[in-house]
Amino acid sequence: MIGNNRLIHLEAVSRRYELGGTTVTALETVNLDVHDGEFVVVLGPSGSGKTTLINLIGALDSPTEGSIRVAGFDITDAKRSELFDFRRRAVSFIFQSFNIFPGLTARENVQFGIDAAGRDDPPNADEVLDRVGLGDRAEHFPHELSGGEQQRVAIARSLATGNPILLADEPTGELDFTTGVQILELLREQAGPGTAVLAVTHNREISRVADRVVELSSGRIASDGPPVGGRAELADLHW
Amino acid sequence: MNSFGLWLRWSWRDLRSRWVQVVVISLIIALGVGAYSGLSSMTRWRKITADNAYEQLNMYDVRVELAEGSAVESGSMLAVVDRADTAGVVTDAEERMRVPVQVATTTADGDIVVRGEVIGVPLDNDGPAINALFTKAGRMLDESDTARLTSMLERNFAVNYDLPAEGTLTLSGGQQIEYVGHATTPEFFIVIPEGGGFFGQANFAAVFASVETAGEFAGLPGSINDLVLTLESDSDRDAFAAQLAASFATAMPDIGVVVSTTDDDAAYSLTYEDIEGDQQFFNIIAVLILAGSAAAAVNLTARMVDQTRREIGISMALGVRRRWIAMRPMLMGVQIAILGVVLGVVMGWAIAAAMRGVLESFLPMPEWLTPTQWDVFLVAAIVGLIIPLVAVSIPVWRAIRVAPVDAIRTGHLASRGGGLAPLVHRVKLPGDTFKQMPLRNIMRAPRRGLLTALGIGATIAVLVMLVASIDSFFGAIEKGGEEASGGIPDRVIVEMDSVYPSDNGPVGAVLVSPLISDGEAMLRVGGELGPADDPIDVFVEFVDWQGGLFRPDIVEGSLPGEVPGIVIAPKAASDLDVGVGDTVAVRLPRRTGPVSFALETSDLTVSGINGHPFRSVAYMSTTQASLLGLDGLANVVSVVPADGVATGDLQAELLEVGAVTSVQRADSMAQLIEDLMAQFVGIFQLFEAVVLVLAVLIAFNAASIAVDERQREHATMFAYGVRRRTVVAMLMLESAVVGVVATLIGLLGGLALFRYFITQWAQTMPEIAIPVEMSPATLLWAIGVGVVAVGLAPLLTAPRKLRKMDLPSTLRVME
Ligand SMILES: Nc1ncnc2c1ncn2[C@@H]1O[C@H](COP(=O)(O)OP(=O)(O)OP(=O)(O)O)[C@@H](O)[C@H]1O
Ligand SMILES: [Mg+2]
Repeated sequence: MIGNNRLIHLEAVSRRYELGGTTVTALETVNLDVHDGEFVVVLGPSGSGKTTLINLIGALDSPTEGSIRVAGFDITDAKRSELFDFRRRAVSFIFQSFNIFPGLTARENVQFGIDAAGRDDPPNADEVLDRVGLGDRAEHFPHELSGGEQQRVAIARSLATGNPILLADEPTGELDFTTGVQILELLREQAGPGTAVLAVTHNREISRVADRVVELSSGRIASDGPPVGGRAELADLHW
Repeated sequence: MNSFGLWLRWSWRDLRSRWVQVVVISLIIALGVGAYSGLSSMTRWRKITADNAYEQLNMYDVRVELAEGSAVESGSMLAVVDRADTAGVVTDAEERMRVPVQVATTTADGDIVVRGEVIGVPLDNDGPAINALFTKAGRMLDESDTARLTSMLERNFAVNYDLPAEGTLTLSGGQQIEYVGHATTPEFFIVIPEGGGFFGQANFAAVFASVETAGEFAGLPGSINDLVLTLESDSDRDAFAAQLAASFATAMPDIGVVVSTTDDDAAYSLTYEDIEGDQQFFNIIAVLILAGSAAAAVNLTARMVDQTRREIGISMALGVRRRWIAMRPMLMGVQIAILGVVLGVVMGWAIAAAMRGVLESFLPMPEWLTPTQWDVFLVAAIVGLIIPLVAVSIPVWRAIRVAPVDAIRTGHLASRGGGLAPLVHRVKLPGDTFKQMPLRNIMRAPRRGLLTALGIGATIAVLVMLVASIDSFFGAIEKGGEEASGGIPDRVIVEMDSVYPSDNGPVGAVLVSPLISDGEAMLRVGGELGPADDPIDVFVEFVDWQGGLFRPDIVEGSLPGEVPGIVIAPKAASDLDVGVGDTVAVRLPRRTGPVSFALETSDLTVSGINGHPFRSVAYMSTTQASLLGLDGLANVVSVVPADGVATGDLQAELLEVGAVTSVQRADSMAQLIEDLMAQFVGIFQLFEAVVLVLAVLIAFNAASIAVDERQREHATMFAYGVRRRTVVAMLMLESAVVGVVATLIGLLGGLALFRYFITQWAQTMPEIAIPVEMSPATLLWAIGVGVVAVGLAPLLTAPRKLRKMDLPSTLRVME
């Protein structure tokens, strides 16, 4: 259900690294629009610029050229403090290595997301955990959960922020194929009115669960559209 | 892999990325090593200097004093020695004449009058051979001074008032005497005030003159009252002293005689006990500082090892030998150790150099011997080297025992929710996640938190000990001042050179002075309490409990009533192990003739305990003066100045009355000690500052390590838009919680140490009871350092590190 609310808008964005005389171009004149309701998978081989793209959208990094607007914020020339506000209110990260807090239980990790966003009408942590299917593991510490469960906690934590854009960098990278697909399914369910999900993967097969696949190659967008061979259900995937 | 070069390079990179932490721990170790070697060198110097001084100035082995006020014809004391059976062991003997006087002189700040003593010594044969005089300024007395009114002034007094090397003194009765130099002699290396303690130099002036001159001053030409002897080095001093006492008792039955030995000399025993006491104090300070630094070193390496555990696991999997794996963190230990010891030796040398100056100005030894104490530095250096190495090897040893599979597992450590975390999880903590996380972090690794708290706690203990000691000492002195005033704030004590009728003569003259609003003639005599072989020196004041002006506090028991009783100080009661109602032996001088007193023992009931912290203060009733044959006589007048009359004016006026030896506020001693101690407080405050810096350094280091360790957690928070100041606040909260634990440890430890020192102190200086109490100020200090300073420590490191953090790479990098 693609809405007409443009949440992400990248215009001629480039990101270069200067390394002792040599210039590494991670992204080259990238143009991209993402609307609410969209579940976009960014696909590409290692080193193609996927992480760079997602970090730019999440304002963890800033472009060398071009402009970026996300959820109504122009983050290209924003001040540091504005970027903090932006990250608190607009985007939510999910990482390949989960990065959930080892000292906090599942529920507390989710509570962290709620407290970080500091919304006036905060959701209930247990309900959010229910949404990722971990309602019965609220009291558990990360080391008591499997990788897939930890990643669900990470997703619950970003959902808990109530922010419109979910950014997931290789969320399935450390998981087996089935679990990875389940995680992607879960992410896809989060795309709806007012929200969009952007997930990175280098696994073409997994990318087939997406509505739209943006393929990167050497920092450029090589293709953008529905997955080759059409959207697939879990059962149709080969591994 | 066994290329040493690679390992060295790797270790060099470790060092570069952690140099601040390494330097900080090295500094902490350096403070411990420096404190120990510097302060211990000072103790050594004092010891060898004192040994040398007593040797050089030929300290007496045995001394014979006649009871206060008594004197005999020159030569008669020597005659007793010659007649004694034991005369064979005596190598030398000299008679002296000691005359209590009042000494007036002019200082840069105006005129002063203090109690003093003319010590007449033999000047033939180049001055006294026993307890010789050492010239610190001016010239030495010689034979030509025998018949002249020339003298030397005791050096501590002279220095205290910054007096020139030559000048004129006015003694009791307006007689003047020249002094030609400053001298020191073993009995005055430390000037012990009446009633014990030290710092007597501000109100006691010893004047050395010929024995003939002293006799003239006393109005008893040709008399002596003091004898000093040296013995063969292998003879038994105590046995000799006992036999000599018996000989004197037979030869001079009407005169009280006190025979004492070197060890009974207050300045002598205080000199050595003080050295030992101080060394213990320094040792504990150094040990605590080293313990704090050890805890900090263990902490840093343990965390470093934890962070590299995966690397260790990979190395293991690659078949690298354990000793190679251990080498990297061990090399860091070596770097810390070497840097710490080098800095420490430099610091110790600097402390020693600074202390040398302090010593030379405070303690007037003839000459200071201050050779470098290589062995002390060597011991400190070895300890300083061993501590970080042991500290490092513990976590390293633990790490290399981990199975490689555990070490490699992703997030082996990071995902550990262990420690006490599950325990506190049941406890509902207040506040949002940002307030809970710091507590959770501590609970997750309680051993680390405890180690940090122990390190800081050790330094706080030193601080508490220092502050509490100062507080209590001043508390006791102040209490002494209040007690001496006996409820009369301006009470002034006028002392006479002897006893006089209490209503006419010089006492009467004082009482009718227009400058006083009230006055009371009193009797005050020196005596002894308790067993004859180990007595306590006391000053007994005879108080008119019914109609008198001065009525001291009695905290327990009652006034000495019909039955002869004595009110003693709490410290005396506890030292003698007596209480109210018990009987105690009291030796007081009984008048046997115009210039002769005999010490007489009577058993008196302890009727009460006074509130004075000085052990020497005792009271009896005026009605009991007849016991001493002194009824109707007085040697002290207690007066209250009239409105608007300054003590100085009163002094000037009353000193005109002949026979008055001193006019001083009752609490003057307390005030003097307080003033003098103020100089020492400076040194203590320096220590406090060092300790404070230390606590902050340890906390800084812990915070700095925590920031490194939690990089990824912090990066994740930043990715969620949590602000830097929130993260810093969380680190501060965590640090403050450790600070609270450290404060508790420090308070308990400091109080225990403080108790220990009070006990030690009581042995060195039994005359003053120091209460074991902690003032609110001490508590505030401890909390201030422990919680506030430690809580603020992350501010020194976290904001900078967090600002410099490269967010994308921190988030990407796997641990
Ligand atoms: N901090 C940096 N400094 C220099 N070059 C960098 C930096 N970060 C990324 N690059 C370079 O930018 C390019 C794109 O990197 P990026 O991390 O976006 O790739 P990716 O598509 O996420 O790869 P992977 O699938 O391996 O994670 C790479 O060539 C990388 O070497
Ligand atoms: Mg990547």
